Amino acid sequence: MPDASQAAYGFSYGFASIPIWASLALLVTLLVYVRGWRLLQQTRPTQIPTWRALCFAGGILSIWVAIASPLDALSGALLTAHMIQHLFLMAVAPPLLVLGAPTVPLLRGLPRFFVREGLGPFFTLRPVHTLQRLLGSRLFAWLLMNTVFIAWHVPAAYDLALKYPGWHEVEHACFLLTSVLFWWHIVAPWPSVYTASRWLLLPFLLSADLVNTALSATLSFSGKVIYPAYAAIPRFFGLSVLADQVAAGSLMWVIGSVSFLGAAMLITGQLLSRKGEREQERMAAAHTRLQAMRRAERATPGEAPTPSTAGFAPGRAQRPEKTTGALPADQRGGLDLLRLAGIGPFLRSRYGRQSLQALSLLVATAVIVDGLFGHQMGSMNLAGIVPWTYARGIFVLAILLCGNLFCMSCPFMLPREAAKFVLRRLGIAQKPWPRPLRNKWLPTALVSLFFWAYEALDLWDSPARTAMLLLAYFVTAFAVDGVFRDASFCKYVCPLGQFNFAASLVSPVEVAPRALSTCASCATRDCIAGHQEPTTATAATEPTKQREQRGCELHLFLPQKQGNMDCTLCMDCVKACPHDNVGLFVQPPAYELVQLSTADPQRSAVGRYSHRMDLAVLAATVVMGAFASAAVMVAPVAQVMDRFGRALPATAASTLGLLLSALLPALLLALLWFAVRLMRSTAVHPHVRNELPRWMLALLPIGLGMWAAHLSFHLVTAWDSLVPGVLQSLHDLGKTVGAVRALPQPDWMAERPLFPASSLLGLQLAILDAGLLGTLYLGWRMGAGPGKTPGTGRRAGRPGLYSGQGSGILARSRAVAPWALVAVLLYTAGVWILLQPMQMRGMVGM
Amino acid sequence: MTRPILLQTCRACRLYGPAALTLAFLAHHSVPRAYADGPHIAFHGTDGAYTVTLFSAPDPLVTGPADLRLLVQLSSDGSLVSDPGLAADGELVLGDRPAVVFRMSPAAARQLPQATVRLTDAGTYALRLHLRKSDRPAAGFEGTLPVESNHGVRNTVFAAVLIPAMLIVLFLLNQSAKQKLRRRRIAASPAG
Repeated sequence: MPDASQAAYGFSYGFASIPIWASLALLVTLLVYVRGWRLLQQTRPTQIPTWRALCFAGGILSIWVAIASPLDALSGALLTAHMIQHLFLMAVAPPLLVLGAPTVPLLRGLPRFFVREGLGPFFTLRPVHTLQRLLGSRLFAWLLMNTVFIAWHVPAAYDLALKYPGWHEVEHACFLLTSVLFWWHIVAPWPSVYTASRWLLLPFLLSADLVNTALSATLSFSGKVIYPAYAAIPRFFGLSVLADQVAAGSLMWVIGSVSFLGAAMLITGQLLSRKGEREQERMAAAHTRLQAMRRAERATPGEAPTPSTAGFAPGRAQRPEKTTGALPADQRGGLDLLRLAGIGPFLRSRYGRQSLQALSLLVATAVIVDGLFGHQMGSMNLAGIVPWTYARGIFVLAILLCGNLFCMSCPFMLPREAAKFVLRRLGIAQKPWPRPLRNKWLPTALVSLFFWAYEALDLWDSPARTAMLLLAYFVTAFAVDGVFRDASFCKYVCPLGQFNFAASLVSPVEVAPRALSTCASCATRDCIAGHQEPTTATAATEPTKQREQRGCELHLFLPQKQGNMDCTLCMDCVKACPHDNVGLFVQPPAYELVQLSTADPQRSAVGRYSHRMDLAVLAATVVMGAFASAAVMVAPVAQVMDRFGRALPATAASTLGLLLSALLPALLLALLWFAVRLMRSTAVHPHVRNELPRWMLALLPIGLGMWAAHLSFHLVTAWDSLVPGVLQSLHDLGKTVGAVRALPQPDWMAERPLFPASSLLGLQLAILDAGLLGTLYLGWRMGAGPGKTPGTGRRAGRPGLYSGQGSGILARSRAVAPWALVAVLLYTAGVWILLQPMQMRGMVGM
Repeated sequence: MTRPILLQTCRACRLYGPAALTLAFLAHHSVPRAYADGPHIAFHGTDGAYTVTLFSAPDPLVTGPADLRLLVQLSSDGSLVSDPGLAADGELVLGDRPAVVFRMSPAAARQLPQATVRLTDAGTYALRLHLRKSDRPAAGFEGTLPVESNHGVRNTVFAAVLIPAMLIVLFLLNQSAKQKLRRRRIAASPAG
């Protein structure tokens, strides 16, 4: 390895040097190929044999070696290393990728919907046909590869790539893509066919070798340093700059020539054998067929094209019909998690949820104890680490990726169960929740209060206050559910629950009936009413006991339940249903909101979203909370707030903060109201009051994207703070215990971010991007015409906003532009916030 | 008649392209300031009567301005030291480059002693911290501070802001192509 000066100049290699996004992209490509290859094996088992699949995997591995191995770290210091890197990208990876015949496996490996609806329309575009014809030209491929090859070796271009990592990546992409095109013409992988004599491949290869030889010889024999950038940095392995250049030129010469001449010899051998003759005949027949197809295409202009020349268009679909049989019309399709081994039995078991709750109760207890009696510095106390670093991030990401896990494992549930049990034993009847409060206004106000309290009380920084808040939460849950019936606390009080309910509208899982016909024939409605079930008697003489299996405490009647609003994933309905007709289904993210663009049905215990202004305000609070909670942590905003704080008396500043937490959602709603009013000018009938909640809910993805981007930062940068936190807590609380004193001291300096800086920011921005795109897609759908009622083919739901206004793409874009502008404004604010320096606000409660 | 797809795409690009490019450009050029969102425990150690914890931001540290804050506690009972006579200074050394010397300003109310340094090169810096009481050395600490290059960050920002714009244009193109296909099918059907 290089000498000690290497570390000082940054030529080091470690886990952090691996480009995460590129590695992830390569891995996904390989997985898609393998999936497609396996599907293809079922219908055409001999078309792409295993060795070809291995070649493709080898090609992917070669790319990864070139861009993610120590080669890349050394390429800035050694021309030889840089040249090896290029050879991997030009002479090793491309032929291997092409030998893997990737067209059909990659297309079949992608989701069918994406290929048909996403990629399919592009293949009908005229510019794509033109590009296809151009890329199908052998001369063009030769010229392109060699031009790129020579151009990037011009000293000015080469230095540019060395100086700027971005240009370096462009250089690599150019080498890889043009070489893949070049080798495509040599190998002509299935379903491509040769359209000219294969003898012509020989001058094609030999002339490319001539270019390679000329450039290599220039590097090897010039006798002067061609790339001065290498002269300005320390030398490694005792290689002088000139010796390094000669070694690089020789490598390029030998490996380049071996690949070109080796391929030429192989092709010549094939052509001279009998197999080659047969190949020639097959090629002539294919050429004739192709000519006939082209003639037919010219005769019927406007028809979709057929696969042609060099195989850049996908082959005709050979997918067989599925043999699984269609589902009954009312039966819900998709993956049912309750049918999976492991997850299903666990969630359905009597103690499944309770074990999760017990675990979270244990953690909450540890947080309270450490918060009250441990180290009073947030980042070194469990009350600072567990709720604000781990729990927030994990549960928000969990909602977006797999469902409302917080409510499922809520630590506050066991005490309220205890309250209900005690009161029942005492014979005290519980009251129904007051009718005027059966909405989201109170919990929305509590969500705002919670956001305000986080800032005003410096909760992230004050373990004792965090512990007190948790205690208060337990007491409130105990009191509310002790006095009132059912899950009143969850539905009408809990601010965390409301946040989760709003966020779970974009969640990819939903509790739903497996078949509506079963629900229609059900007379008992146990899913909502519950039932008494006998427990197993331990002895024959013992009387059979009855155990209550309650139904949904949030009054969500399954046949009319649509979406995740108010659903805590408690699984009571699953356990209560006597017909085993309740499933936990995987669905596309934000499916419920996508459906909202075409219909807004009456939902059980929720009603129509368009009539729920309280839900719109809740969504606005969640969305603005995301941006506000991140903004107050960055220096420019924190400094302004500090100035205000100093200028005003403490009470006034605190009141102003409370007002702001209520005003920000109001400001967003006012902006939206204005936007919807503007859009109304092109709409058929909408009433702003009814439209506003829908358009507000459509902003949830960008808000949740901001939450996830912000909280994932804390998770990634402090992902390993739990172990030192636990050790610190043990040392603080158990000073007198000998076993604790024997434990190692917490090593806070060992904390390192999971990703390097650029990848971490990339992750945050990618999450925010996904939120923006999700929001814009929902807006696009809402701006469309009405959908069709499933199964009837009839138009249903509200008329499209823009019916009768022309359905052109630009007309629709213009129509939803006011609302989209609000979304883009939020996105811009999010990007700005993520780029700002963090203000390290008073970290010790002095 | 449907507008030609290319024309529609061009218009879409004309509508969204400049805005996206401007946003990407602004984002790209706002990065040289330190970015990110949280302090990080960069050093924690004990020497004699004092235990110090050094926090750094941005997290992870990248080339450019960096914010350093110091928490000083008594080793005996962990209580916070807020003695105005206690001064802290230090230096950061990378290879044979000139040392980056810093002196931490005294603690203000609810704030820790703070210093802002400009780190021009990426690499692992050697950190030396000194506590002085009445100008006499009270404690000394040594550690390391890894710093990454800001180049990757700037490119990431540029790409991350431009990619959604490209995806939106592709989506519009897709919708436009679909619409054209649909109209072609309707025109070709017997009813059409």
